[in-house]
Amino acid sequence: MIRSLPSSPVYRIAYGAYVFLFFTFLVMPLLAISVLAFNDSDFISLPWNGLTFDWFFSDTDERQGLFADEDLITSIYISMSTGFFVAALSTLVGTLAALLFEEEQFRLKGLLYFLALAPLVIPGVILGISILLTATAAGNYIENSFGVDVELFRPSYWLVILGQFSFGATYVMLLVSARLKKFDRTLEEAALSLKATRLEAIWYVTIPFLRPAIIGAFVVAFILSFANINTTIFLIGSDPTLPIDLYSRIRFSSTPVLNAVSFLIVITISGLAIINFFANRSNK
Amino acid sequence: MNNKKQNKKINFNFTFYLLIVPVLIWLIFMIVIPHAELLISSFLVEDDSGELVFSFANYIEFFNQKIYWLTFVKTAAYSIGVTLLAFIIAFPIAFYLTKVTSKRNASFLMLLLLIPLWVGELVTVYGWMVLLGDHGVINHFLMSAGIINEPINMLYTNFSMVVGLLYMSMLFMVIPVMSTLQSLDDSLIEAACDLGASKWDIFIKIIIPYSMPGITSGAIIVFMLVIGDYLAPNLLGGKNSLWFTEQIYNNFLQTFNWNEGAAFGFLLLMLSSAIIWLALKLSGQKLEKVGS
Amino acid sequence: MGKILEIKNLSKYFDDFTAVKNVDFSVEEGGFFSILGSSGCGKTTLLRIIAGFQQQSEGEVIIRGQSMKGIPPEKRPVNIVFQNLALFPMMNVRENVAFGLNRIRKRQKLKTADINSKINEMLERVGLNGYEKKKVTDLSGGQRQRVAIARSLVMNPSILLLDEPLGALDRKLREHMKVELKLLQKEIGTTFVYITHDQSEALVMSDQVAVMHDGQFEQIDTPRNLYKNPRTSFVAGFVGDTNRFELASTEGDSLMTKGGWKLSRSDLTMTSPGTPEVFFIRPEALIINPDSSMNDVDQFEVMIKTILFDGSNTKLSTIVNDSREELLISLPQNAQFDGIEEGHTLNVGVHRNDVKCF
Repeated sequence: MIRSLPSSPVYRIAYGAYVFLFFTFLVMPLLAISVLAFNDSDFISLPWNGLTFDWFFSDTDERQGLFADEDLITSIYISMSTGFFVAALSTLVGTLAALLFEEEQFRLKGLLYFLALAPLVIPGVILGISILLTATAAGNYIENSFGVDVELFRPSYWLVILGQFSFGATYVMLLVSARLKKFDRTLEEAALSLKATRLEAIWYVTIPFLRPAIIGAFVVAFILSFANINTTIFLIGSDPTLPIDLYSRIRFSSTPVLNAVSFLIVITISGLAIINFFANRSNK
Repeated sequence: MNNKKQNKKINFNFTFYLLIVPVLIWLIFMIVIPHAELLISSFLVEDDSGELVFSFANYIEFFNQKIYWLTFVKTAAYSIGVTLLAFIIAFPIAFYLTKVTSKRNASFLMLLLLIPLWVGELVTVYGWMVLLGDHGVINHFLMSAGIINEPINMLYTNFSMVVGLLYMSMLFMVIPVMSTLQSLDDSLIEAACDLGASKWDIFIKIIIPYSMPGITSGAIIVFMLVIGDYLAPNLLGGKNSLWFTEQIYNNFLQTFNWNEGAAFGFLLLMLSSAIIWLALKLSGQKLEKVGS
Repeated sequence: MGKILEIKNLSKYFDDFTAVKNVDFSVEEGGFFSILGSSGCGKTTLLRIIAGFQQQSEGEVIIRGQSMKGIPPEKRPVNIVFQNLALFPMMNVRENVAFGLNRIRKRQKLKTADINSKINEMLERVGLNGYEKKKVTDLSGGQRQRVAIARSLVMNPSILLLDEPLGALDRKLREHMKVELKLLQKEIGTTFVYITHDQSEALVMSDQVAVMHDGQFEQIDTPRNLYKNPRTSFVAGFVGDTNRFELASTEGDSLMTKGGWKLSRSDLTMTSPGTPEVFFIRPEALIINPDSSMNDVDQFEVMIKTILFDGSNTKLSTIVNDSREELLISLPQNAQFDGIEEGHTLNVGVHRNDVKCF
């Protein structure tokens, strides 16, 4: 059953087979799209007609590859820059929130902490429509009162960033809090005893200790933003992010270029995961 | 030791405000006000002159139209079912990774487990479309192997929808269960075995009760993700697999009846909160634990 | 020399218990003052109140004649060496030592050259020159200790507070650091307030030791007096090894311990007024085979139960004849007592001044 206990061969083989099936199930969809990205066919299906890189590089009317498709390139760029701003904003506020909830005592702390965790259990759809309704109401109010049209309050690039930030900060907070729980508080007291102000103690002692978690949280917030669709779809203006662009293509005009984009995402993420894997290992 | 008095005094300083002000702005403007606005909007309808007036009409509409509340009930039932399935599928995997295989293998398999999560739901849902379609990879292999002559209709059914929902959510069952199992001392299992317990007894009497906090956390996250999901029901589900989130999308992005959409959204929020609250009550857990 | 630290009637209450109760003492400038007590006696709370990390419920902390009320830790002229040392793991040795000076450089208009020379001087003093660039996590226990002390001393505090800084070291190194710390304190002349549960640390290093018990000070005295003339039964039992006897009856002139050892009242000189309840005799105060001509020495016979050999610390475990009382007697390892064996009866004596009765 566990490593130290003997178990019957039938049990071991059955368990092993189950685990194997599970991981096959896990890898299958990713493998299928990746392979079909290189199939020399106009349809996203087998049979295998030979290897081609058309869906990446070709620029003809029949086969417009990923790198020739300006719309796709634009939406990748939009997703990247959205991800960057969301990650920066979430990391900043999420880290402050972690410090606040771990280190300070104040009234209504419990309530605030509950609110900060709420995005974990609020479906993304609800966050999306709530923020859309609020932004629109605020936008209408400002337009009627001052006659100014503020872009932030209409579905737009910046509203998407705000919307994704609303839940990104929660994840950053949790990741940074987890590390902060391991922080030895006497280090901060030592800094105070050495005449640092509270702010200096946090800046020179606590933040350097948290650095790995903060960097990790930034990456997580970026990836959450990059992959998000549930919240984003309500807030999007004229510039679609990559998942929104892909979603409408899947529904209306599939070509294997979708596989090419998906393949790139899978490869990038796997690369990041493997780097992270070996970085962790060498740390140990 | 308790030193509230001291802390209250120290709070009255610059650092405290530096920390709390941005957090308050985030929570008030991005969480509290939007949800209040959602609630208010759900009680507004346009009257004949186009003015917004207070009314229960959005909610009455929900109960009058059979399709709406049927979808609502179906979504809830399916979400609970998928959560249960996710537990059954994921638990042996979590146990395998923490207690059976070596640390080296486990960390490699964890990597494999995390990649689909980071790749994002859209790509994986698309992957299942490619696999399950009538001309998809699975049907192609089955037909060329001569097992079937006609393609099996798998895509755009409840089956494909459940597969998609499970695929994107079960990882969130594996991770919390793993973290509780990691703290389960092997000697507990060895002692039970030594006292003559069968595998099944050990599983039911020791392992499951011990990992209950992880299971609850996992179940809550899986349930929340599934009930609020849109992509899997929309892209993998068929005509009969209407999901309640799709009603909300239709109201907002197709019929532009935002107030009715707000009412539906609020109902969904109430439903998921109620079930999560119930799960927390039954297992005696706190929301804070779910987060960690 | 004046008083650098005065604690006046200090108390600290928590919700359900009192950690520090009416503590009152002062420390001379340049002194080495120890607070000795077992864990949970309130000594750490007291130290943290002096440092400013906790606020007293009542009483006053006065440093150089100035009340510390409402002054946050970073503004007090004290530095603290923590029990776990609290070295900053993300900084090297030099950065750790420089940390405090860099914080006050603006306020005190320090020049970079001054800071550097102060750091170099301090590192030299604690024998860490050449280790500037080392990570603190790569240092040995003793070196880490020195970094922690250098980091605080370089701030030139009026008082250095030390919270059991030797607790984490192994025994040999602790013995060594005790001497080193004492010499360092003599050399630089900074006032040290040191808390510990290890009596040997307190006795070896301090000019004055306060014994703390249940939030209160039992006695403040020189190490020698504390050992020789304990003023309460707690101090007598807590400081050093000792034999403890409880009295069962104190009627008339004849006294009897609970174990049935009969003594006459004239054997006991009361240390404090009142009815005697308990008395103590240190193992090394017992004289084996005393000369009958010695004055004020009570003699009695004991039976040797077993010999507890421990080098210079060897003791005899004996039973006082005609009673059930056990008595530990120090056995000097010299040729005079080589013939002593288990089962023998031994004549022992004790000087009246060495019987401490309360």
